[in-house]
Amino acid sequence: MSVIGKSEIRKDVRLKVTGKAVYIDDLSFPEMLWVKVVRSPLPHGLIKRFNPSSALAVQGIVSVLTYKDIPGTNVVPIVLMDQPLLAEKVVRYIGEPIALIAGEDRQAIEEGAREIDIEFEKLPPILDPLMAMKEDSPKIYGKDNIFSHHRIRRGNIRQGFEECDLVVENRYTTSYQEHAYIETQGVIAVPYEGRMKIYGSLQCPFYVQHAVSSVLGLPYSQIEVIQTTTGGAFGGKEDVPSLVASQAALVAFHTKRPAKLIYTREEDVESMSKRHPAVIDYKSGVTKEGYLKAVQVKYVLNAGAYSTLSPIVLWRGTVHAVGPYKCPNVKVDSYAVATNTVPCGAFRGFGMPQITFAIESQMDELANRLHIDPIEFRLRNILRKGDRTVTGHLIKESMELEKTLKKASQIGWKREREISNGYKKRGMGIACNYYGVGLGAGGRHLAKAGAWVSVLSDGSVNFAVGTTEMGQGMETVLSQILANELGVKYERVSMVPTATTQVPDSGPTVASRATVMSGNALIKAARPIKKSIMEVASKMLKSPISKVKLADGYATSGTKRIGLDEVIDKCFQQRKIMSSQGWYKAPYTSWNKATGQGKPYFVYSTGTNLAEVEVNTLTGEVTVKRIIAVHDVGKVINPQTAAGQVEGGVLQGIGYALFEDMAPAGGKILNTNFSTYILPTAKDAPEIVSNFIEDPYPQGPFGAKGLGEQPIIGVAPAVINAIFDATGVRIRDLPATPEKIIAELNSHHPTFIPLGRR
Amino acid sequence: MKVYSPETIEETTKILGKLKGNVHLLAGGTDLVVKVKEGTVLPENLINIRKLPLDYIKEEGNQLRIGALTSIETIHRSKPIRTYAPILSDAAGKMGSPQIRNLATIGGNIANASPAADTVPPLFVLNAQIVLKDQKGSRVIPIEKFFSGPGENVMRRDEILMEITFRKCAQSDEWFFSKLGQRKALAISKVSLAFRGKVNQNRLTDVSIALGAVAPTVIYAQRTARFLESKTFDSALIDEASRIIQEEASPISDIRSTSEYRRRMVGALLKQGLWELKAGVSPD
Ligand SMILES: Cc1cc2nc3c(=O)[nH]c(=O)nc-3n(C[C@H](O)[C@H](O)[C@H](O)COP(=O)(O)OP(=O)(O)OC[C@H]3O[C@@H](n4cnc5c(N)ncnc54)[C@H](O)[C@@H]3O)c2cc1C
Repeated sequence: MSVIGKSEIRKDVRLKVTGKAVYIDDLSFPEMLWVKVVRSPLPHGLIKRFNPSSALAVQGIVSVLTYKDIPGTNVVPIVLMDQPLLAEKVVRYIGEPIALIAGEDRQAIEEGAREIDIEFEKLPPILDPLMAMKEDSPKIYGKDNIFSHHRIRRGNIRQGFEECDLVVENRYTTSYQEHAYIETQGVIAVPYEGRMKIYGSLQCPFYVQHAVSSVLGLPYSQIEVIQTTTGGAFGGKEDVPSLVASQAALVAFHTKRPAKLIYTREEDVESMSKRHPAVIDYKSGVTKEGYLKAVQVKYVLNAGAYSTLSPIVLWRGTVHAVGPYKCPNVKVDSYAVATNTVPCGAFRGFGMPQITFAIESQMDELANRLHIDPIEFRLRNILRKGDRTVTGHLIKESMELEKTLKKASQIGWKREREISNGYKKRGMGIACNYYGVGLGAGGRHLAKAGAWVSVLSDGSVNFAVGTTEMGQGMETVLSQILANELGVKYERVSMVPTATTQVPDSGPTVASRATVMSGNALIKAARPIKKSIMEVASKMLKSPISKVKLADGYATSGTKRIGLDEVIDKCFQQRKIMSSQGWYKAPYTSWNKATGQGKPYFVYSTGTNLAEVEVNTLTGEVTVKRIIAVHDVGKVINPQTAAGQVEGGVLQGIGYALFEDMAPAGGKILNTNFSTYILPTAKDAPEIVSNFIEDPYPQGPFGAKGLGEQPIIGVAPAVINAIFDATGVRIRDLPATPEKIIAELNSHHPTFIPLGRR
Repeated sequence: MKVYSPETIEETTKILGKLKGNVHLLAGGTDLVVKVKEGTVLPENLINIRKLPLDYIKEEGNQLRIGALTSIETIHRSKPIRTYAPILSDAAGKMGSPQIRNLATIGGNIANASPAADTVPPLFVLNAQIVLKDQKGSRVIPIEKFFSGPGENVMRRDEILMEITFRKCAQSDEWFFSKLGQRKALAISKVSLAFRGKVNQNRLTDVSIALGAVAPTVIYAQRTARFLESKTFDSALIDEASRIIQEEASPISDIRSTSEYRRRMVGALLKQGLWELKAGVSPD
């Protein structure tokens, strides 16, 4: 029986539920020092004086380091190389690192940090991206405060709008979203015979390797990065651990002692990346028959003080700015803008939850104004095989959005609404989305992955990949892929912790790419080994190779079968190749920067979310009753982990839609822990119905595409559309707090009557 | 920081009487430990009072007495409280999460003096008395006289909160406790409202209403209570009362909500509660 499509028990589950998993803060080394980061209290300022002497006088303090102590370059290398590891003369956001304090224990470094004497001169901060874009605004980056600008030009936008019967134009805004990984950032740097070993909670070991190498001025070969059990990441441990690890490594380098750096929740929230707040001006036009004719978008991300991954986050949002729909006339301009606020970066969905909120709110409004059922309206416009995306990409395979839409509507779209009980109004909303799997043309040079497989003489199997497990279930899914490929039992396969010494640079673990990239690399790595096993099994079974099958721990041919352990033992006796490397390169992608045309991604996952809500119109409280989430993922490798991804994404999406709010005052984030940064709890969770459409993607391992990010993307707009359906109130500023809903319900705008209520 | 763990009340009041410098009593710690971590409280002396025999719920005639160290979860589940002060049990059940409710004590909830403390509005409408003790003896204070501002109460630094007492409610009492938080669990009240009264022949009598989180301390909404007693219990009365009650609140804007929303919600919670009460009692 195939291991693919089975809910095998997660590889990491036993250690995690019994509390035995070893997280970075559980580790220590002899002679280890503790590190604390001294941070800027100002959003913008000059460092006039820095005096470490009273901090150095604190008992237990070993060292205070600044940018002057950096032997390599004072840059965190990501895309634009604009971010220093430690501020030199200027600080540009609250929480920006200035110095590192190392001491014998936690208490010493806390006290040392209080003693540090720094004098600043305040500079006026720019906190709002739209202000920062104005010509006469002070410049904190380049000539125009713009880190990055992308565009799409298709058809003739002016003519397109002229041909429309209905044009809708609105501004949408979104708040920060905090990753809220359970484990905060943490790293231990261990100097070891001239090399530097980095242990840490991280997503992208190779990014960390490159960053530490550049800061210490050592070759890549001298930096070894080992991932420890990682307690959640969601993109928040993509680029950021490069910074954390470089800080710890700098201390270890100078003191020649292991250095441990664990961020507190407060400093993590204050200084680490988040989902970018966005301002989106969205204009869309349709014919009265309900066909999209023209879309014009201006998409602005508040990137914060440094560019980090913003150019790529912005690019993904740009590519998908019209949603999974056909449209002949398109003009998209997007900007990642510098402000004196915390640098934003990668977060599950990567620039798409913001724009999808705008896209799907617009689609809903168009449908309502046209008096067309929102599902029917989408069916008239969605991408199918044979269509071109707005970037001109001809979709030839694996595009089953229509099936997800129809499935979701079949499960739960009731035109006959449940009777609303007085002031409690029920409503339903729908949102579609698509998601380009992998890094795409924006990260083409990184679109590769290596794997190493070793079958041992007792029949057990080890493998290593360059992507990481962070709670998403990669280890489990890859073990299933490999077990299936070699025909061994799932229980016999295990992954060694991801480390830079195991496999070649495989790019980052992001962009929902691990299943496709590492899965394919593993299959390739398994090939020579499989050949060895088949050859030996064929002799043992006295049957031609073409008749031999490997599955479930046996080699079989017709009715004959033999245990694989025995075959493997024989392979070793015969000194066959039993360990091997695999390498996979992503399919072709392209992008024309001037026109925004090309084949930006090699394949898209798609999905439909349907939300059912109840709005208390007296208090503005929204209860999400049910989310139906149908995703087209090519092939589900493990139904339980897939459902887990969907459930987590749905809850994160509900947080984004309704609760998670961060309104900094003067550049300072006020809610830096979970008593005031409001995440949904189990009590806020709705019934979640997850369902999958499986239309195998030919290039994917066993037909699989990515799923990691998809689940969060369409949830907020589905919820917001359902609130509209229930109340006639359309919230265009996330999150939809009761305060906003009540204000809208009591405003005197003529409310628009939702279609379902006429 | 010095830590004391006395086992008797006498020992405790003696230590309290003797100590110089700041002193903090530790009960469940769910407020205090947070403040210590945030650095807003730096205790020089910490008295762990968890060993004191103050974990009890006693019925005495028509009185209930609750020891200060009784946990919120115990109060939520207590049979006598469910029977004779159901509004208190209900409010206790709406606090925090199971973990918090198991640690948190009613004494801590009161002594902490947050205007958002959830047991306090019910204790207002129950006309509860707070019993304090020092080395020399005890004194009793009505709950509405206990608070002097956000985080402030009238306890002297050598006193300990011993117990809370109040008269049992009658079976015929109508009541509701409503709370708005930022989510459905683990939420500090943005607004809360406790209502107690009787319905007699389409009229409300003996009305008492207390509001949480919309003034520097929990307050009685007395004007509204009197107004509700003045006319026939119908939807016009409800509408007018929910307008008047908004004038009795003086909310602020903070990280959890806005003053405007809070004010409006005082009216909304009253309206919602009275509608439901009315639907259950005598249809219009
Ligand atoms: C996650 C979380 C959720 C919460 N949710 C809610 C909620 O929904 N509703 C709500 O009202 N509160 C909530 N709280 C606040 C807190 O749990 C309650 O106020 C609780 O009742 C405090 O009791 P405690 O025993 O933990 O007090 P402690 O923290 O031990 O003490 C609080 C204060 O009271 C003083 N004190 C305690 N006992 C006595 C005594 N016998 N005599 C004199 N002084 C005393 C202490 O010195 C201290 O100043 C929450 C707290 C947390 C951390």
